[in-house]
Amino acid sequence: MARPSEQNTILKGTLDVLVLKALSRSSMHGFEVTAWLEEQASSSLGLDDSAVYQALYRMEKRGLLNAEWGVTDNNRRARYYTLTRAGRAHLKAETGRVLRYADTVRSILSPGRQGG
Amino acid sequence: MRRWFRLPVTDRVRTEADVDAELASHIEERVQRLMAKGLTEPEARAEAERLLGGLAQARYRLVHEAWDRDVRLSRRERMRARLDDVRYAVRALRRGPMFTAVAVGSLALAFALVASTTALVDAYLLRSMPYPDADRLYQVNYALPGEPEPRGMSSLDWSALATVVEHADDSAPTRFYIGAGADRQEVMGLLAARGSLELLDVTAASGRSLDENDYAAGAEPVLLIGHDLWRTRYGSDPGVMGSLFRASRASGDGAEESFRIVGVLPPNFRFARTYSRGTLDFVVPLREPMRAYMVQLREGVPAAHAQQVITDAVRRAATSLPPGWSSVQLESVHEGYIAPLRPVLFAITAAAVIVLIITSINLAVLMLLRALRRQKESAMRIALGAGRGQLLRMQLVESGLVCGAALLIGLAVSMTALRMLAPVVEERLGRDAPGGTMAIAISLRVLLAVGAAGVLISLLLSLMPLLAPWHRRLADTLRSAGRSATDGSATRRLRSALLALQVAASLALLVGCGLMIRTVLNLVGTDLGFRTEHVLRARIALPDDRYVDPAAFLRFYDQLTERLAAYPIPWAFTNASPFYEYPQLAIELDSGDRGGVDAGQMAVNERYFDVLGITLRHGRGFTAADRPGAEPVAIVSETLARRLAPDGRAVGRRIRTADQADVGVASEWRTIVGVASDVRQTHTDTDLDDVYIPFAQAPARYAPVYFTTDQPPSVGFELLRAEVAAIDPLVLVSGGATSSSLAEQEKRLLAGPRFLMSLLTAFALFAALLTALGVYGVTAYAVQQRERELAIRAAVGATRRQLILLFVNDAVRTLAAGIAAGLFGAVAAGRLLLNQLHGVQPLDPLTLVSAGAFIGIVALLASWWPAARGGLSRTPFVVLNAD
Repeated sequence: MARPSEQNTILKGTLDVLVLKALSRSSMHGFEVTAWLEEQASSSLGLDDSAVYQALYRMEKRGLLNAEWGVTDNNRRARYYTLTRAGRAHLKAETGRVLRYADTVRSILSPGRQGG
Repeated sequence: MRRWFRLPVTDRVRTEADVDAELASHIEERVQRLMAKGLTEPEARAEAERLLGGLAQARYRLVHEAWDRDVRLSRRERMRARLDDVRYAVRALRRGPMFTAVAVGSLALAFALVASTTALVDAYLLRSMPYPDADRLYQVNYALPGEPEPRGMSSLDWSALATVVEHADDSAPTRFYIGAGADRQEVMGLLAARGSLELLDVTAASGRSLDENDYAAGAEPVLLIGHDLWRTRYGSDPGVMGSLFRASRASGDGAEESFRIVGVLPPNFRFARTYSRGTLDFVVPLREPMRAYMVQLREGVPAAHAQQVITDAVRRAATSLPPGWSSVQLESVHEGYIAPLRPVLFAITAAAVIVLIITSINLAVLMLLRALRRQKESAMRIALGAGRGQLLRMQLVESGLVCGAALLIGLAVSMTALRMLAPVVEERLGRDAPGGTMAIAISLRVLLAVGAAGVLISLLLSLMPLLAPWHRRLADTLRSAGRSATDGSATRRLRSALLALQVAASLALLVGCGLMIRTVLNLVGTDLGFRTEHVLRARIALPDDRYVDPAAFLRFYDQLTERLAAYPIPWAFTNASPFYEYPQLAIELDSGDRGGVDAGQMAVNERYFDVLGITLRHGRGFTAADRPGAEPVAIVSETLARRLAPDGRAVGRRIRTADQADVGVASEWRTIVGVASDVRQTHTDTDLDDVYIPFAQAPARYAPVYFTTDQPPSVGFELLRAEVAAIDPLVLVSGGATSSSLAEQEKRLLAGPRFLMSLLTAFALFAALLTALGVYGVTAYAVQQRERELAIRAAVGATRRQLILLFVNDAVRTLAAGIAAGLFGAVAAGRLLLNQLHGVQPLDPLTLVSAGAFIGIVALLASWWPAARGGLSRTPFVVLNAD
């Protein structure tokens, strides 16, 4: 089983952006974020659920998210996360950066590229 | 405790509980999802844990991350709370701009004063002289001033005292004459003993310093030239190294010697023992051992012990000890330099501290009033749940902001002021700071001292509003009519006590100020008996080798007088320095009567009285006929004449003078031919007995020359130099700088007392202003608070005057208490200034009464003004109907 320490830092940063993206639409609690990520990525990202929570805690510490205890539809206690203004700004900036990076990597690794 | 200080609490157990709860919630959701897909509960649970990455491992990682988060979040929360406090305090201060401006402004000024005076104390008294281990340098006084020293101590072996004395320095200051004719100059330097320059850590700015070889017998004489002299005489030319320096010693046979210049002294180098004499012009090696007047003690040796050891050694070595000689005195070189300044520095520092105290008390009173005004608001806040602690914290922030801003502004002002005024202060105090002018600055020590004072004041001030009555029930406070709540008698007494303290402190300052004003007026108003305006002074020095006896002096002066007669300028020769009280001689009258009269004696030529504007009351002045060989004559001052001949007929009597130290050696009899008006040698000179004898009958080697001219001063000096050079180019004429004007010298003598007077006046006026502000504020508040009562009194027939008197009487009571307490302070002020006073007693009644009257009038006006203007302008009808 892949442990977080084996996952590289790039992925950790990318995970943060993905989680922010999830929360950009509405407030969610931890499980909802995990479920959303699973739905959006048709193949698994290869992450433990706990990695998502670690990302959530990290970003809450940095002030990108606010968290509050609430009640789910099933009347269960859950911790709801919301984007802060800083979080939104960070999402915008990082989205651009990650996409540009992905394009660069794709263009280098694609077949048909001379040299290599 | 937690209720008082509502800080978010960080608690590991809570964090773990939170993580557990979140994990549980997540697992439940996952299990539900999986069960919906068809798994059994145990299977679903196992799968859920697997997807997490192992429950225990997940929990471990998440608790670690969550703890990090919680710590950071709570820290952020605390900072936000603090910033809110600050924001709130700033808003509160903004709402009362008058209060804020007065508070910060007056406190900043007070801090600036304290910082500046502390910097002076630091630069002069605490900082040691600019030599390594300067605190171990001591001056050796073999006898008390004026007393003879033990003789024959050439056998004193300092190496035997090596346990106590690390280094004995027998360097001696000396003077040379250099140049010729108009260029002739006297320079001051040092005969440096072996190791002396190393002791003082002197490294040559250019060339080399002295070394062992320079002290060897038969070595070529070498010289280190002073930085200033190098600049003025040689234009800072590095080529001067290796050239010859020709000079003749001022004392000695006067033969010209040659020295090879081998180095340039560092700029601003002063010899430790003669620090007050300024920078040195040259240093040459000392070849023969001399008496050591300075020692460096071994580390850890107390001065008293060293003094004892040295005294014993002197006693053993001396061939003769003067009668009554008890011991050698060791005085720290630093102490010797700054001792005269200590009282002045303490006086102004004490004054600055008093100003700071007054300012703080003033602020305390103002803050108390403010708190009373805001009592309703505070009551409401308490009702809404704020704890006492929170209110205290907000007070702390508010007073902290005020003190912090005041500190910053005050320090900035002080730094700028010190940088600009340091040279002026050095001049007024009469001594440069050891360590240079740049040393007068805000050092770390000063920062810490003033900062600590600021913190203390901030804490005390923040406690002030808490002294407003808390015990009153909230309901009462909220219910009470009017804008501000009534204050209890305790608060009123506190206010009165604070104001009385302010009055007392102001009185002390005013008394000090008054004493100095009277001193300066006395000094300035002292009639010296001679003219200083437009009187210039040169000094002639005849070299030893060519002028060996008074006859030779006289030949020179006769020639000079003849040549100078061609000019319209009157020249007065004398042997006495200006502003200097010279030793007393016993006067014997021809009736054989010794009478215990003594007087100072000076030799003057026939133009002296004329140039200095001294009138002749009886008889005649000196003439050209009063020469050696003619009858010995004298002129006496009025007071002396009255003493010698109460019948008024002093002219014609004969007197004889005798040096008091050498009893039995009397001068010849002289006939009194004239009586001159009284002269004071300095402003504080009380001895008005003077004897004048003709210059021709007692010419001097070193003769001050006075003259007045309406031409620019330089004309006179050049003229004198030219004529002297025409007779003998090796005779030195000094003078021509600004110090050569008697008026300038007089100004310099008065500079110190004037400085102290202006400082104290400024401090005292500032203190009085603050006291007035305090009284004004308190009265204005009282007027506003008692509006209804006043309206009622007016309605039942009280006159305006009676209403005003209500408040003025209150003020009078406070004032009386303050003045009574202030008298103690006034006594202390007088004691502190004792050495600076002249012509006035420390407990001078006139000063005490005037100071008391001044502060009394100021305070009464300050209480009358708001009472007259205030709520008494509205008619009782309006006021009573208001609420």
